[in-house]
Amino acid sequence: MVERVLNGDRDAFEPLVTPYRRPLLGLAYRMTRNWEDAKEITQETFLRAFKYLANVDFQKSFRNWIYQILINTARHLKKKQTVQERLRHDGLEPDLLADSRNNPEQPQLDQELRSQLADCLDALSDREREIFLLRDIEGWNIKETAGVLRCSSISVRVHLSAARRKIKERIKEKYPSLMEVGR
Amino acid sequence: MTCRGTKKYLPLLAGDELPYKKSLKVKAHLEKCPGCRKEAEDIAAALDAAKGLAQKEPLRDWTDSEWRQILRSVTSATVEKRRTASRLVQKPAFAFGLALLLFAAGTLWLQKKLPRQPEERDGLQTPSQTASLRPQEPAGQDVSSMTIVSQETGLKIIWFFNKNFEWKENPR
Repeated sequence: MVERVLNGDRDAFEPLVTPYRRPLLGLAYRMTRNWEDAKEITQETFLRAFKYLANVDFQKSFRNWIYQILINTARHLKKKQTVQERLRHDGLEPDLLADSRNNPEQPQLDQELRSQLADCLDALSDREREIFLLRDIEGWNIKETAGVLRCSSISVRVHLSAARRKIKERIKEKYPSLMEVGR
Repeated sequence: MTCRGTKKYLPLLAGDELPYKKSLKVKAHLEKCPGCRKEAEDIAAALDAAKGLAQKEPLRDWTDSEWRQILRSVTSATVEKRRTASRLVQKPAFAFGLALLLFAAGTLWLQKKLPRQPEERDGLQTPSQTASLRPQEPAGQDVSSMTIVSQETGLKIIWFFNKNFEWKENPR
């Protein structure tokens, strides 16, 4: 498929990236907690993937390569954003408010879930969040996670360990009822 | 295994990421330590809860029109050509060259900086240094003598040594 795109068949790019359109958007959202930023990051990821498709290493996984682009793009965007901009994004999002007008109960539950998960993820450092999301939420193994984040497996274990400990503390402190569900 | 050592591994045990032997040790400790067991259960429960939240959290997808628009704008870009092998090879070659240059510069600097006294430090001196340190002796001193006198008989023996320690007795 990659070869076809490189040989000029631009339409072949769609089937190549379609399996990742939702997972990438979801991961970007969980990293930024903002849909607009997530969309921007994902779009930029697809653009970079297309531009640098010639650099894909066929010996390695295309999935890992495109996730690596997404993580780098998200980091880049985060650097660009000022603290003020980030504060502006906090709180209930406008489109979610629009949803809640149509169905007042379900979005409220969704928002609660979102805010609980966001609160848990807020307890983590950027690195810990990336590792926790890839390993525990996306279900990647340690080696794959290390490969995408370009760090050692030991580093992944150390950060993962710290992340799980922090998540435990946060849930125990703020949402103890969730712990009972998890048992 | 101590409680402190065990607690260090509990988050990884929750995700089944510990090596087999280590996990056996940790589990053996957990069986006899209720405090650590409670901690392990809490971490596992919190992890499950976080995963549950993530699963329940509704995630969005692109609308069809958005997706079409993205694909249109993305595929209108130009695909950059593959980086040539030589460019990739140049990086390690450059790093190796730079390391070699730094090593050579460091060696030269050390040679200039450190005083050259290796022989003195070992208590050894080269013949030329010994000669320079020795006071200049007159030419006549090439021959040394040793005199032995008997107290009982008054017999006197004089030995003369030349440079090569060849001796003559009472040369007249």
